[in-house]
Amino acid sequence: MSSSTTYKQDLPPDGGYKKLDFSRVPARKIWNWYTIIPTYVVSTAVGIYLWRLNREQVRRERAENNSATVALMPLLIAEKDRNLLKTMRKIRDEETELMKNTEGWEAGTLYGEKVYKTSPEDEFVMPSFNEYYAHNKNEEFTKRFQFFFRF
Amino acid sequence: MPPPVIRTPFTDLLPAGYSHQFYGRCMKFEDRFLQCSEAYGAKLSEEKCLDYKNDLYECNSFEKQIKRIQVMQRERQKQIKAGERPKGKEYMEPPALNSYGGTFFGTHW
Repeated sequence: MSSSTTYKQDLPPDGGYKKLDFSRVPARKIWNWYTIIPTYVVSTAVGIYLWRLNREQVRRERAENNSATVALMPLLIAEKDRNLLKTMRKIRDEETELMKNTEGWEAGTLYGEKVYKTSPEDEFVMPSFNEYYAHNKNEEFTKRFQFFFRF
Repeated sequence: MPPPVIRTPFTDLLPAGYSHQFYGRCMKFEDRFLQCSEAYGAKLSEEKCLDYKNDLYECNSFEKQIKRIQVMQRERQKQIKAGERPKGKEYMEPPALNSYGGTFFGTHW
Protein backbone atom coordinates (compact mmCIF):
# COMPACT_ATOMS: atom_id res chain seq x y z
CA MET A 1 0.00 0.00 0.00
CA SER A 2 1.30 3.38 -0.86
CA SER A 3 0.05 6.82 -0.21
CA SER A 4 0.57 10.02 -1.98
CA THR A 5 0.22 12.16 1.14
CA THR A 6 2.86 14.82 1.34
CA TYR A 7 4.41 15.60 4.76
CA LYS A 8 5.48 18.96 5.92
CA GLN A 9 8.41 19.16 8.32
CA ASP A 10 7.65 21.19 11.46
CA LEU A 11 10.19 23.95 11.46
CA PRO A 12 10.84 27.12 13.47
CA PRO A 13 9.10 30.21 12.21
CA ASP A 14 10.83 32.50 9.85
CA GLY A 15 13.38 34.60 11.57
CA GLY A 16 13.72 32.12 14.42
CA TYR A 17 11.98 31.87 17.83
CA LYS A 18 11.33 34.81 20.07
CA LYS A 19 14.18 35.47 22.51
CA LEU A 20 13.60 34.33 26.13
CA ASP A 21 13.08 37.17 28.58
CA PHE A 22 15.58 36.84 31.42
CA SER A 23 15.32 40.39 32.59
CA ARG A 24 14.59 41.01 36.34
CA VAL A 25 11.12 42.08 37.40
CA PRO A 26 11.71 44.18 40.57
CA ALA A 27 9.03 44.44 43.27
CA ARG A 28 7.29 47.70 43.76
CA LYS A 29 9.25 49.75 46.25
CA ILE A 30 7.28 50.99 49.27
CA TRP A 31 9.84 50.95 52.08
CA ASN A 32 13.11 52.70 51.64
CA TRP A 33 15.89 52.76 54.17
CA TYR A 34 14.91 56.26 55.19
CA THR A 35 11.45 55.09 56.15
CA ILE A 36 12.39 51.68 57.59
CA ILE A 37 14.98 52.86 60.09
CA PRO A 38 12.96 55.68 61.70
CA THR A 39 9.90 53.44 61.93
CA TYR A 40 11.95 50.77 63.61
CA VAL A 41 13.49 53.22 66.05
CA VAL A 42 10.17 54.85 66.96
CA SER A 43 8.24 51.59 67.38
CA THR A 44 11.02 50.10 69.51
CA ALA A 45 11.09 53.21 71.69
CA VAL A 46 7.34 53.12 72.18
CA GLY A 47 7.47 49.39 72.92
CA ILE A 48 10.20 49.82 75.51
CA TYR A 49 8.26 52.63 77.16
CA LEU A 50 5.10 50.54 77.38
CA TRP A 51 7.04 47.54 78.58
CA ARG A 52 8.59 49.60 81.36
CA LEU A 53 5.19 50.86 82.44
CA ASN A 54 3.96 47.27 82.57
CA ARG A 55 7.04 46.17 84.46
CA GLU A 56 6.43 48.84 87.07
CA GLN A 57 2.92 47.62 87.55
CA VAL A 58 4.01 43.99 87.80
CA ARG A 59 6.63 44.89 90.40
CA ARG A 60 4.16 46.92 92.40
CA GLU A 61 1.68 44.05 92.45
CA ARG A 62 4.36 41.57 93.37
CA ALA A 63 5.50 43.77 96.25
CA GLU A 64 1.92 44.02 97.44
CA ASN A 65 1.51 40.26 97.33
CA ASN A 66 4.78 39.74 99.16
CA SER A 67 3.91 42.18 101.90
CA ALA A 68 0.50 40.57 102.29
CA THR A 69 2.20 37.16 102.63
CA VAL A 70 4.68 38.56 105.15
CA ALA A 71 1.85 40.10 107.15
CA LEU A 72 -0.22 36.90 107.14
CA MET A 73 2.52 34.34 107.74
CA PRO A 74 2.86 34.78 111.54
CA LEU A 75 -0.86 34.36 111.97
CA LEU A 76 -1.02 31.27 109.77
CA ILE A 77 2.02 29.68 111.39
CA ALA A 78 0.71 30.41 114.87
CA GLU A 79 -2.61 28.84 113.96
CA LYS A 80 -0.83 25.82 112.56
CA ASP A 81 1.30 25.40 115.69
CA ARG A 82 -1.72 25.81 117.92
CA ASN A 83 -3.52 23.17 115.91
CA LEU A 84 -0.53 20.85 116.23
CA LEU A 85 -0.41 21.21 120.02
CA LYS A 86 -4.14 20.70 120.34
CA THR A 87 -3.96 17.59 118.20
CA MET A 88 -1.07 16.21 120.23
CA ARG A 89 -3.07 16.66 123.40
CA LYS A 90 -5.98 14.89 121.77
CA ILE A 91 -3.73 12.03 120.73
CA ARG A 92 -2.35 11.74 124.28
CA ASP A 93 -5.85 11.58 125.74
CA GLU A 94 -6.88 9.01 123.15
CA GLU A 95 -3.86 6.91 123.98
CA THR A 96 -4.45 6.96 127.72
CA GLU A 97 -8.07 6.05 127.09
CA LEU A 98 -7.13 3.26 124.71
CA MET A 99 -4.35 1.67 126.75
CA LYS A 100 -5.92 1.90 130.19
CA ASN A 101 -6.20 -1.89 130.39
CA THR A 102 -2.59 -2.50 129.40
CA GLU A 103 -0.32 -2.86 132.40
CA GLY A 104 2.60 -0.47 132.78
CA TRP A 105 1.63 1.62 129.83
CA GLU A 106 1.94 5.37 130.04
CA ALA A 107 1.09 7.74 127.21
CA GLY A 108 4.12 8.43 125.05
CA THR A 109 6.03 5.37 126.21
CA LEU A 110 6.53 1.77 125.20
CA TYR A 111 5.40 -0.19 128.28
CA GLY A 112 6.74 2.58 130.51
CA GLU A 113 9.99 2.85 128.56
CA LYS A 114 10.62 6.36 127.27
CA VAL A 115 11.17 6.77 123.57
CA TYR A 116 14.00 9.25 124.10
CA LYS A 117 15.82 8.76 127.38
CA THR A 118 18.10 11.76 127.35
CA SER A 119 15.89 14.51 125.98
CA PRO A 120 14.99 17.03 128.73
CA GLU A 121 11.51 17.22 130.19
CA ASP A 122 10.70 20.62 128.71
CA GLU A 123 12.00 19.86 125.24
CA PHE A 124 9.49 19.64 122.44
CA VAL A 125 9.79 16.37 120.56
CA MET A 126 7.94 16.23 117.31
CA PRO A 127 5.93 13.02 116.96
CA SER A 128 6.73 11.03 113.88
CA PHE A 129 4.20 11.15 111.10
CA ASN A 130 3.05 7.60 111.71
CA GLU A 131 2.53 8.31 115.38
CA TYR A 132 0.56 11.41 114.50
CA TYR A 133 -1.93 9.25 112.60
CA ALA A 134 -1.64 6.16 114.78
CA HIS A 135 -5.24 6.39 115.99
CA ASN A 136 -6.79 6.98 112.59
CA LYS A 137 -7.68 4.63 109.82
CA ASN A 138 -4.89 3.65 107.51
CA GLU A 139 -6.62 5.41 104.62
CA GLU A 140 -6.34 8.74 106.40
CA PHE A 141 -2.65 8.14 106.93
CA THR A 142 -2.01 7.37 103.26
CA LYS A 143 -4.02 10.38 102.16
CA ARG A 144 -2.06 12.70 104.43
CA PHE A 145 1.24 11.04 103.64
CA GLN A 146 0.72 11.74 99.97
CA PHE A 147 -0.09 15.35 100.85
CA PHE A 148 3.02 15.92 102.94
CA PHE A 149 5.69 13.88 101.24
CA ARG A 150 5.09 14.41 97.57
CA PHE A 151 8.10 15.26 95.53
CA MET B 1 34.83 9.36 116.04
CA PRO B 2 37.99 7.27 116.17
CA PRO B 3 40.68 8.14 113.65
CA PRO B 4 40.90 5.94 110.56
CA VAL B 5 43.07 2.85 110.77
CA ILE B 6 45.07 3.67 107.69
CA ARG B 7 45.56 7.38 107.31
CA THR B 8 46.42 8.70 103.88
CA PRO B 9 45.97 12.10 102.27
CA PHE B 10 42.83 10.72 100.67
CA THR B 11 41.19 9.92 104.00
CA ASP B 12 41.81 13.52 105.02
CA LEU B 13 40.46 14.72 101.71
CA LEU B 14 37.26 12.69 101.81
CA PRO B 15 35.70 12.87 105.26
CA ALA B 16 32.03 12.19 105.92
CA GLY B 17 30.12 14.76 103.93
CA TYR B 18 26.76 14.47 105.60
CA SER B 19 25.53 14.71 109.15
CA HIS B 20 22.37 15.71 110.94
CA GLN B 21 23.82 19.15 111.62
CA PHE B 22 22.34 20.75 108.50
CA TYR B 23 19.12 21.34 110.43
CA GLY B 24 18.34 17.65 110.24
CA ARG B 25 15.64 15.97 112.23
CA CYS B 26 18.07 14.32 114.65
CA MET B 27 20.37 17.33 115.00
CA LYS B 28 20.07 17.64 118.78
CA PHE B 29 20.54 13.93 119.44
CA GLU B 30 23.59 13.71 117.25
CA ASP B 31 25.03 16.84 118.80
CA ARG B 32 24.58 15.51 122.34
CA PHE B 33 26.11 12.16 121.44
CA LEU B 34 29.11 13.74 119.76
CA GLN B 35 29.69 16.19 122.61
CA CYS B 36 29.53 13.32 125.08
CA SER B 37 31.87 11.04 123.17
CA GLU B 38 34.29 13.89 122.65
CA ALA B 39 34.32 14.55 126.38
CA TYR B 40 34.84 10.92 127.44
CA GLY B 41 37.07 9.65 124.68
CA ALA B 42 36.82 6.57 122.54
CA LYS B 43 36.84 3.86 125.22
CA LEU B 44 34.90 5.46 128.09
CA SER B 45 32.23 6.86 125.81
CA GLU B 46 31.08 3.39 124.89
CA GLU B 47 29.44 2.95 128.27
CA LYS B 48 29.01 6.57 129.34
CA CYS B 49 27.26 7.73 126.19
CA LEU B 50 25.15 4.66 125.59
CA ASP B 51 21.87 6.48 126.23
CA TYR B 52 22.76 9.25 123.83
CA LYS B 53 23.78 6.66 121.28
CA ASN B 54 20.53 4.75 121.71
CA ASP B 55 18.55 7.97 121.37
CA LEU B 56 20.32 8.82 118.15
CA TYR B 57 19.69 5.28 116.93
CA GLU B 58 16.02 5.59 117.86
CA CYS B 59 15.75 8.92 116.06
CA ASN B 60 17.23 7.35 112.95
CA SER B 61 15.39 4.05 113.00
CA PHE B 62 11.98 4.86 114.66
CA GLU B 63 12.26 1.42 116.23
CA LYS B 64 10.39 2.07 119.49
CA GLN B 65 7.90 4.40 117.85
CA ILE B 66 6.95 1.80 115.27
CA LYS B 67 6.63 -0.82 117.98
CA ARG B 68 4.42 1.54 119.96
CA ILE B 69 2.15 2.10 116.98
CA GLN B 70 1.91 -1.63 116.34
CA VAL B 71 0.97 -2.37 119.94
CA MET B 72 -1.62 0.41 120.04
CA GLN B 73 -3.23 -0.54 116.76
CA ARG B 74 -3.38 -4.20 117.72
CA GLU B 75 -5.05 -3.19 120.99
CA ARG B 76 -7.55 -1.07 119.07
CA GLN B 77 -8.42 -3.89 116.67
CA LYS B 78 -8.84 -6.22 119.64
CA GLN B 79 -11.20 -3.79 121.32
CA ILE B 80 -13.19 -3.27 118.12
CA LYS B 81 -13.58 -7.01 117.69
CA ALA B 82 -14.70 -7.38 121.30
CA GLY B 83 -17.18 -4.56 120.77
CA GLU B 84 -15.79 -2.44 123.56
CA ARG B 85 -15.52 0.72 121.52
CA PRO B 86 -18.69 2.76 120.87
CA LYS B 87 -20.04 2.57 117.35
CA GLY B 88 -18.95 5.31 114.97
CA LYS B 89 -16.14 6.19 117.37
CA GLU B 90 -13.80 3.30 116.70
CA TYR B 91 -11.12 5.68 115.45
CA MET B 92 -10.03 9.18 116.38
CA GLU B 93 -11.08 12.13 114.26
CA PRO B 94 -8.33 12.87 111.73
CA PRO B 95 -6.32 15.99 112.56
CA ALA B 96 -6.40 19.05 110.32
CA LEU B 97 -4.55 18.66 107.08
CA ASN B 98 -1.90 21.32 107.57
CA SER B 99 -1.40 20.88 111.28
CA TYR B 100 1.58 18.53 111.13
CA GLY B 101 5.06 19.91 110.68
CA GLY B 102 7.57 22.33 112.08
CA THR B 103 7.23 26.07 112.13
CA PHE B 104 8.58 26.49 108.64
CA PHE B 105 7.28 24.71 105.59
CA GLY B 106 9.05 21.51 104.74
CA THR B 107 10.45 21.05 108.24
CA HIS B 108 9.02 18.20 110.24
CA TRP B 109 10.96 18.00 113.44
